[in-house]
Amino acid sequence: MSSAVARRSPTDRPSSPLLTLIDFTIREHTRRRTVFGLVVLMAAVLVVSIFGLDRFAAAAVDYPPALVRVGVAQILVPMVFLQGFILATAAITLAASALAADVESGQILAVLARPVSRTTIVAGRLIGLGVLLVPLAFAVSVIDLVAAYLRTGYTPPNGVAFVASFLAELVAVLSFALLCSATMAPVAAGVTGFVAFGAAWILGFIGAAGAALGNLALVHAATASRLILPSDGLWRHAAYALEPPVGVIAAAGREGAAFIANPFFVGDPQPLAFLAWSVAWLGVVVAATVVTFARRSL
Amino acid sequence: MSALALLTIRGVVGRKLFRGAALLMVLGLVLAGLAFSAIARSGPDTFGNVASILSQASVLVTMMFTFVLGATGVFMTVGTIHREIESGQVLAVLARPLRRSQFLLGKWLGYALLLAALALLAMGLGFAIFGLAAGYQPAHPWSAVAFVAAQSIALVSFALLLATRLPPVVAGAGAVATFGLAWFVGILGKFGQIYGVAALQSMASVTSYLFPTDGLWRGAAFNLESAEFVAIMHARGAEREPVGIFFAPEPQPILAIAWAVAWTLVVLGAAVLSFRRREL
Repeated sequence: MSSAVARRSPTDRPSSPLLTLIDFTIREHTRRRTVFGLVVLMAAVLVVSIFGLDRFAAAAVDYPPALVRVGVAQILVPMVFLQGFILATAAITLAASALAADVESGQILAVLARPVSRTTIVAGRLIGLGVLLVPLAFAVSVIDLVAAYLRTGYTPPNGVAFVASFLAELVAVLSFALLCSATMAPVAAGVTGFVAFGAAWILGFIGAAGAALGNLALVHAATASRLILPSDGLWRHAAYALEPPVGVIAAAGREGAAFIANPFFVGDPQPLAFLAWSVAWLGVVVAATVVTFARRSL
Repeated sequence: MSALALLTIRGVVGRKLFRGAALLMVLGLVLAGLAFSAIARSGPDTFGNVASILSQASVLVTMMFTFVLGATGVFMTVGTIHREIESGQVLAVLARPLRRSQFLLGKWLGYALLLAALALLAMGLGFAIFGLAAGYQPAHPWSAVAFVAAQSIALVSFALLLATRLPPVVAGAGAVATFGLAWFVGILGKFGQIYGVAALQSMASVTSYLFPTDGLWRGAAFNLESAEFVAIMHARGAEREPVGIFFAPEPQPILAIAWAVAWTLVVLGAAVLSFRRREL
């Protein structure tokens, strides 16, 4: 890390250590073709997804409008889930090594010998990775909405809530993986990030099944997992924002237990208290990352 | 090569992290068992046919498990290979009488065995818990485990190929994205069946040859479904209903299984060739 920072000419060096670290993080991943690779991957996913929507719309011209809306939403939700999963994979992989790899290689000691605080390093890494990933996620989510409208005429009930929740899910996963990176070795941080993200998703599905069955133990287990890592709750909020209103689903003849049992159907929005908690959770996790990294023996 | 495979397995299993992940997995399975128990107690009047719902729930939980298993396997494989190359450790290993192909195959074998063992342990424990909690038994548990293990091994082989040339984030995300796309195209193919869109069915068919993980997953799904459930679904024409998206109506043909095995071996061979020719 230090050699790359030193290679920058004094004229184009940002004015503060934080800006330098953000700039370095972005340049490091741009140089490694990471950003280019992710853009190509997401473009490929979008091409396939939009082709699917387009073919569906072409074949569904004679179907009742309610059925078409439900069908488009049923394609959109797993499509957006896949995009979120890929972006989360990239976020966990990038964040897991963001701090831990520098600690493991000893490069962090060369950086800390300069007037740069550990807090600045955590903030620089988090903001730098956020600058790399969030605009990409924003672009993907907006393209999803525009493509759905242009190819099928479908507009989800709450596009803004979808985009905001989609981005929030990514930021939550990124922050959690960075916390793991501040406390563990790179592989341990990544595996913990993946297992926690996956466990939250599975528990979310189990909680939804529990709610449908009226089993409070399962609902509470899912709620607890959402309080620890809100990624699944945010994903569910994004999915709910994409689905047509219940009346349209009923008009399409798709209501009932068999439809609700689909893990890519979300019947209710997330409560406001959960959304507020997600914001507070982000603050707590970032603070925990700063404190843990500041106290870590290097 | 076998020594390297053993070292790879020990390197993962010996970590405290592995025990933590195992504990989390057991906790998840116990909670899933509670859900199965609740479904079994709910009775047919509350939630449709109980056997069908249990069967479908086991398919969905297993599908989610394969995502987590696959992504974790990809991360471990890509991360290890990249770090060993970047840190120069690979040079110390290759200074011994060990060919590059043996090094790569040793790593692959270690991760392949580990993923197969994880699939066996997690699914075996899951079947035991689901059996105790709800009396649910999959139709062909061993075949289901074999399909899930084969899917993870195919994915990790592809990730290994990408990792020999691409930066770790792109290799990891690329493998997961391709795996996810194959799964999504499989869903689109099902939509093609439900809504009668031939183009989507053709796309799914072509994709199953290019990247056969979704076919392996559907093989696992079929082996998890009870014969009663399959009969009920066929009787109501569920291939044409939204619930049929995750329904596997028939077993994977032997040719498709043979193709998936051959595909994995070809990808692994390509990874070895690519690794032999790259600069370290």
